[in-house]
Amino acid sequence: MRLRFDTKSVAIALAVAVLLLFGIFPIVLLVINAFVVDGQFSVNNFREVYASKSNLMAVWNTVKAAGLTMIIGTVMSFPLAWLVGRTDLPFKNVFRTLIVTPYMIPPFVGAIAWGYLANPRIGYLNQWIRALFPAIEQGPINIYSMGGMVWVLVLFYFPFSFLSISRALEKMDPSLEEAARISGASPLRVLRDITLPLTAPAIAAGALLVFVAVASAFGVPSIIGGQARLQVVTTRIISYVYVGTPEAMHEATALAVVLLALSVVVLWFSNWYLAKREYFTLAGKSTRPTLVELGRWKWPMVVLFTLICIVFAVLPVMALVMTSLVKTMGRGFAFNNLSLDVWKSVLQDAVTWRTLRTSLYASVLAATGGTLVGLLIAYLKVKTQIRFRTIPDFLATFTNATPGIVLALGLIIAFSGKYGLNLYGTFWILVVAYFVRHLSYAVRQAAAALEQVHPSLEEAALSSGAGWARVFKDVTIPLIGPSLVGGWFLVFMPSFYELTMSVMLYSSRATPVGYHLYHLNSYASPQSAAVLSVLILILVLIGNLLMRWASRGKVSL
Amino acid sequence: MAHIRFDNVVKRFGDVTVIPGFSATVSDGEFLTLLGPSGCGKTTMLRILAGFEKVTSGEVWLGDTLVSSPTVHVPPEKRNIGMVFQSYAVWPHMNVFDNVAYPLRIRRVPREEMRERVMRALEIVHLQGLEKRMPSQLSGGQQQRVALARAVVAEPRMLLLDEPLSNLDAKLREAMRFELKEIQRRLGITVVYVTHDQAEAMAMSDRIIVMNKGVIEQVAPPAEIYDRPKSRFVADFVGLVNFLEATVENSDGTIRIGDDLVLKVDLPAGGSQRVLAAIRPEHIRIGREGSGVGTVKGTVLRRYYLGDQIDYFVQTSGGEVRVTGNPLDGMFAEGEPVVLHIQHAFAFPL
Ligand SMILES: Nc1ncnc2c1ncn2[C@@H]1O[C@H](COP(=O)(O)OP(=O)(O)O)[C@@H](O)[C@H]1O
Ligand SMILES: [Mg+2]
Repeated sequence: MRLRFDTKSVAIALAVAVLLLFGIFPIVLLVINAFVVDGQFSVNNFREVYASKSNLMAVWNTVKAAGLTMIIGTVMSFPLAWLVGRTDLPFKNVFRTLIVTPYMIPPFVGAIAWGYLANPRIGYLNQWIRALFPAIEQGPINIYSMGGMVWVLVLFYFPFSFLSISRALEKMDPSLEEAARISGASPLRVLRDITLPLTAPAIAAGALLVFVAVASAFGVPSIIGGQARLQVVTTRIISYVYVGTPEAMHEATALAVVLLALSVVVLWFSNWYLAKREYFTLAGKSTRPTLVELGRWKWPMVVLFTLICIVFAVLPVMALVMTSLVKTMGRGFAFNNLSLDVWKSVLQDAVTWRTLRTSLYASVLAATGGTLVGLLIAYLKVKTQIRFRTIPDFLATFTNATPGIVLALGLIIAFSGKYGLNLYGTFWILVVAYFVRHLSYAVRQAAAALEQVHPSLEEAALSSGAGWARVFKDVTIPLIGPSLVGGWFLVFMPSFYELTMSVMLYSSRATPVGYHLYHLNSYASPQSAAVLSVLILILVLIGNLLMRWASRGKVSL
Repeated sequence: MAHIRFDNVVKRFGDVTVIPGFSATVSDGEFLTLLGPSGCGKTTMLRILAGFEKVTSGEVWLGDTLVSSPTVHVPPEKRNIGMVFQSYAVWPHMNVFDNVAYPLRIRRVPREEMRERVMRALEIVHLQGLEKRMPSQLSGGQQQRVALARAVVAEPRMLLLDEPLSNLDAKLREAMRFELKEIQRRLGITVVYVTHDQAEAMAMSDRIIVMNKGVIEQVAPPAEIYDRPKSRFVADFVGLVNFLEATVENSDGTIRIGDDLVLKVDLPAGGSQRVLAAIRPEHIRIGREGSGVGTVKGTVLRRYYLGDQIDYFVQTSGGEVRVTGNPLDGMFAEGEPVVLHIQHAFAFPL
């Protein structure tokens, strides 16, 4: 198909232009900035940055936290995914849902919750332990430590690995395992000889995903690590940005480029290298997997899973609710210590509503723009024959894989007015950031849906004389509607509670609720933070239910 | 010793009874086929035999060992069975040699002997020289052969095959039928074969079990299934058949179809006045002349030329009849009056 100046080509070209301007241009600029000092190529930035001891310490802490989280998360995920996917564990569907609940809780909210639980002085867990064992006088758990930070990171980032492995187990042809059983191998031998090697690419991909996600995380390291005086790369970058001088910005870019390189390598590795090594199973009717019988391990496993679910899902939510309802923290959850005062003050505070509104508006705009642009990019990829048609989709994946902190830094450099457009300090930079970072979710939904639409449907409408725009509106959109709505929510939800980019891009005129919560927790009122956290969790839950309903069950978090 | 016995096996999945009661035996060295439409429970029976599914009630015996009952369940790895799966299930991370050698590795066969036995198995399935290949470098037909070699390499007491040919293209599928049968003869192994393709079942089996909704309709050698189907379902499922309503003229088996067709059949029990006559298209000869018992006049409605045969649809007083014609007997034009000679017919209760 030739590129012509009709509605279709113009619309698609605009969509691609938007992505290039707001997604790719800032990232490219950031990289250039890191290497070009006073108009000349130089690695001086890096030399300076990595000469600083505290920066090196931050890199080391990042590697340590991400590495440990990756290892622990993966080692934990495989047995859990296998037990849920391949054994006769009772209630496994309930466990499967509960175990990935942390996926729905924004990690920094989780970090706040674990602060309440395991603060060495007033954490609920510590209070309970001291009440049970009066011999213990302080602690004993200190969440504000490397160990504590890794613990919280594992809880909130292991779902990447768990879901990656679970999906691989589901996709695997069960007869591959059955063929080994009938060849004489015991269930454990099958696990070692067949299941493990065949899911290895998914295990590796999940592990890398965890590593990058943790290395680019800001919320947990800032909230937990901050108290422990543990600096990581992301928190260093933010400190430099807050300083704001040109030198500081240079240091920030030099740090950011390393994070960017890390995520690019991982993106390449899992999309090209590992994807090629995934063993595709023959399409066709295959039976359900034979479930390994746990026998006398059945009920111990149920107990174990119940405990895990309590720790993963119930405890943090409970801690938030409890904290939001007590008069004074540290006096425990006793009847005479309960009150709704904090709730009242948060709900009566105009800032609460202003920040919620800001986040709502910015996310709605980002989601709507993302759905539109995502649809056009998906259309380009799936339904046209133009050369390079898959590149915009790839670019969207790339901006999604780019750590939020790097993207935000790029946006600051690109849109502070130096290049004609000044968005920094306005509401619009939030919209752009959310849009660019989450666009690929919308592309993916739309592409999957468009692949289901048979070309003959459109051709029939076109041959009846309708123009492309008309056909698109009357035929294509209604067919893929539910998936588009699903994609809209997939952009909206993470935008609504976004923290990392918001911390860098907020302004007094436009403060998103994520930043407000972060600020309350760190500087103002931890109890108000609990109330706001509960509020956000409720909104996330409602959003998820709405999304499931509106996309007819096609999409859920 | 590979004497398999199913004793009133019942299988339920939750509330759904898939097998209401299945009893059969397979003797040593026999090639037995489970034949039936998709969803009738063939795979379920095979998986029960392999030990992948438990029985709800009833018993399965292998030789004089009880392997399945509500209280006993010998797991698949302890049954010494070879199996070829519909999807082949060749392990993509192992080369051909390692795939085939796996059952021997599990049994801790010494290295030299293992090599020898793997090579012999590969020779049987004509894959010599490909032992270093990865499965992704093999065609579907070759993967199938790997699966077959793997299933027989440890000399199991029986071989189970679940629609092994259904993913192959038509030509290969045809050729593999004979080859599978040859391999079975050479190894003298007991085979339980599952298919929904009647031609496959006919070509290879010593006996066929025709299943319908989990129930056995008939157990018999192929020729008997074809020539003396016990039920209307079997007649219809195995081969083509014309069903025509008929009136019983005489209890000696004389029936009348329409105005002028009189036939002798074995009447079904029950002594009803009306029966359903079943006539296979290839049991009818088409000609221009003839009269008397077993003949009927008609007119050719439509004609389809297939090269090796000609399909005619002929209007008779008893209804429309499909006839398979031999091109050597000449061609009959559409609209031409003809006489049909019925060579063989059966009757079922209406
Ligand atoms: N694990 C299972 N759970 C529930 N129903 C099943 C299960 N396995 C098979 N069935 C059902 O049992 C019936 C017979 O299936 P199957 O034995 O695979 O038939 P066939 O191989 O003859 O096509 C089908 O209706 C199928 O849906
Ligand atoms: Mg089947």
